[in-house]
Amino acid sequence: MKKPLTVARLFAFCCAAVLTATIPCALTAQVIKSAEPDKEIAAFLSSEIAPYLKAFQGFEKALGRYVIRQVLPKDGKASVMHGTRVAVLFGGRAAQVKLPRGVARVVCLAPSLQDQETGNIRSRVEMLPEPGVVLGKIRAMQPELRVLVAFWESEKTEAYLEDMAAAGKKIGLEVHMYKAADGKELYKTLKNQVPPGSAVWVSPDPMLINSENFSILKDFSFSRAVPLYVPTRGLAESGGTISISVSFEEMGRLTAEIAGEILKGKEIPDVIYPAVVEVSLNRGAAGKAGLKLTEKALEGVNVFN
Amino acid sequence: MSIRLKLALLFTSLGAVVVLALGTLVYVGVSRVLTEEIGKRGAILIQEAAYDVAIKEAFLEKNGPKLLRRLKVSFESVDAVFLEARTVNGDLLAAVPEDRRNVSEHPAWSEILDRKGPVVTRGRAYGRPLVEISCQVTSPQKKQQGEEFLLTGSSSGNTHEHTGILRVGISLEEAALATRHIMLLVFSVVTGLFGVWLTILMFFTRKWLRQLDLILRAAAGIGESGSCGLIPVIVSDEVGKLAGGFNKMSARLEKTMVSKDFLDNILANMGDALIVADAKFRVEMVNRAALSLTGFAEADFKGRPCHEFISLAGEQNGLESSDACAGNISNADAVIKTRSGENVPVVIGLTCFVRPDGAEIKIISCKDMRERRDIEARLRQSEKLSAVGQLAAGVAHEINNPMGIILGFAQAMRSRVGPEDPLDMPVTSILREAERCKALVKSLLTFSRVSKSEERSRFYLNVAVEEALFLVLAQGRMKNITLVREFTEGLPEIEANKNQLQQIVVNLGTNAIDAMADAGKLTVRTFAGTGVRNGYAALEIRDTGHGMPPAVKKRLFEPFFTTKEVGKGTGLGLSLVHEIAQKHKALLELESEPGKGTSFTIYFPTRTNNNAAAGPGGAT
Repeated sequence: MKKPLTVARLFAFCCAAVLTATIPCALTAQVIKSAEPDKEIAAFLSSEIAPYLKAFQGFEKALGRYVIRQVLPKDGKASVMHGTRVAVLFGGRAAQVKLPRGVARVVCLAPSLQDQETGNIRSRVEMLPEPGVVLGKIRAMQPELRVLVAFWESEKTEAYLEDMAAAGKKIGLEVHMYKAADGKELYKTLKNQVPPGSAVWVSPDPMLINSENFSILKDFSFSRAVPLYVPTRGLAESGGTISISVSFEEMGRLTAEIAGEILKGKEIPDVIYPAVVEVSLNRGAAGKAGLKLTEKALEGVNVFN
Repeated sequence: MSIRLKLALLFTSLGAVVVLALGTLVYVGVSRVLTEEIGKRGAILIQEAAYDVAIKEAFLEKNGPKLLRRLKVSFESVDAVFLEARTVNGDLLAAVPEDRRNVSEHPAWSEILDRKGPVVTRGRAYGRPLVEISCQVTSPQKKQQGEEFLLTGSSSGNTHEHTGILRVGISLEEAALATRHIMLLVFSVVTGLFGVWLTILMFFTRKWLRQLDLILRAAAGIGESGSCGLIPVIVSDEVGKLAGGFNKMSARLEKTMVSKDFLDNILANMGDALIVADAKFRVEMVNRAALSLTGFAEADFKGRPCHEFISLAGEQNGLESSDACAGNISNADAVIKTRSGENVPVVIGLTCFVRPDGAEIKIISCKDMRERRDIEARLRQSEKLSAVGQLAAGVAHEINNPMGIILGFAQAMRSRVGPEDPLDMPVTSILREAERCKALVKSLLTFSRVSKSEERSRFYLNVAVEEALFLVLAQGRMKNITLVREFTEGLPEIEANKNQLQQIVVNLGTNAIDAMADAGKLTVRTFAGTGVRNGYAALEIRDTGHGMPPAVKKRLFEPFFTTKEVGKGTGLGLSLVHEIAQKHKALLELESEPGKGTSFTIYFPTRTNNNAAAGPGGAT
């Protein structure tokens, strides 16, 4: 039996129809809005290698907005959109890109950047955590360790290592610092200055860690059974014993946080040291370096062969 | 060669082999280690040089003089025979010495470039042994490439381009010198240690060797004399046990040897011949008496059947055909054939027994019956003579009474017939001959008297001898024997059985007469002993007969031994003489040479040496 069409029933039907149409539209509008590129922030990548891309993904995820990314061409020239207020630069090469006046530079993953090149940078996210954090992780791995030999090359690393030496004293760990201008010096220093039972730590310095020097370090670690602490997981995967590093995503997240603060007009520190640390162990390399770790030391450590 | 020397030689040669082997190993090892060490040292230096930025830049600039300067500094600490810096194509950029440009050698540069580190090889240059080390030099890395490597741990593309090759030749002469020094030291130490080891070894094995030496000497002693006595056990190991075992074996062997010697002696000294044969009567062994009896050699007996030698009396086919051979027989008369073909009468005994190995053995003993047969014949003769003697004694006794009557009437007639009476001569002759007959009969009766009395009396030797000669004289006359009496007067009396003394005279006299075939001289002499024979009165009976050979002299006093024909002598005369002399503690001496006659001298002890009373006829 067919029911009669009443006013109430008509009103209810209209409401339902409006709601049914509104919700998808709202959702669509929201999607359209998030997909719209942020015109105030521009992202530049030195190249399309995985670390830059991962950091950018972390950055974009933390920002919650779509940001147009540009990979620098070979000539290093980049186009900046009108209205851009913050340029997020991933990599040393990107960090040196020419930008219009008034655009704040936030640099991430640029270890090759020298001090003299950081004049117009508002802020940079370091690859290294606080020295005390690094040493804490090393002590957790090797509680009996008494001497840590640290190598550096860039002047900007020297201050960091002095802080590291000070932090080492507090926990009874001597940090011997050696500058290695080239492979020859590194080779000689390793042969003559690294005592048995110590460990080697290398700073994230592209002038120090190139493929040739890394081979020297790796061979030394294997032949003398000296653990080699490296600053990126990639180096651990290539033969370093243990990496104590910050994840690229985390660095991207920190970069997004800084960019947001700048847009809000807040004061920001020049250098940001990430707090979240990731430890990875190359089991094969550890075996060759004579490092035996307890179950407790391996808690929270990414282990791979 | 003694075991001590052998051991020393063994250990010395062993040591020499060990020293040589060790020396070779050490030489090879040291040489290899030093070469590797020099190679490593050179590799480190060349790697340091390859990492040197200045050298990298010099390679990029192809700046030879700069390269040379840097290389000289880098390798000043080693005895580098040559230094080279070449391009990736092998073109020389810089070199020391300069003539390296002319070196035609061309290593596989691509292989060196493909290798990750230095390449070390051995070779020679300028007449010197060396280690050649090559290492590739790469260009400095660009900053951006370094950053990417740092972040990823890998290089995208060829980040390091090879710009050249460094080569260095380091002399091995120093290593060779060091090797020689080490070898000399090692050789001295090892030789010294070996000498000490050998000395210690010989010291600790001395007891062992001494024990072996004792066993060896004992074994030699057994081999030479059959016995060695017990050897001292001075070690407790296997060698000591060997010595103990040897002692037991030696004792057992000695017992066995004694038994064997004993049996051998018995067999060898057996008077009877012994023949051992197998079950088929084939001779296996004979003793010395059998060889002596037959005159065969032992080889003549071996393996030959017994019937070739022995025949049972009454058996035509020899011993084995006899039924008796099935079992044991004893005292069976048989003859044994000698080498000369003579059949010697024997009495045999046959014994069978079975050896442990199951073989049957026949033991045949043969007793030579020739002498026994001879003695038996002589005994029969002796008995015959004894009967004749008794007959003679009986006859003499019967004659004695008539002779007494004849002598009585003759003496009566003699007293009635005057010297001028024609009957005087016949009566005198009857009286004389009757007296002689009476004396003969008396002597016969005296000699043949069966007297078991050993009673001795004191009498003068000359008197007793004279009475006995009366019996001998008759036989002498029949053979034209001249009797010479050389009686020494004044001999002391002797104490003896007169009848036995006269038996001596008769026997010796009869033998002497028998020894002289047709004529001869029988000298009977009495004299006083002198020197060691002082205190003795001696009787010598000497003939000029055929004398005696030594073999006869040896057996002269054996009973029933005689050289006379069967039926003529009993072989008891001299035996009796010897026995009587022994009873009187008289000394009997014999001198005889074939063709020169025989002399028997008997020394009778006088009662006392100082009791030398003058005999009949007065003292001389």
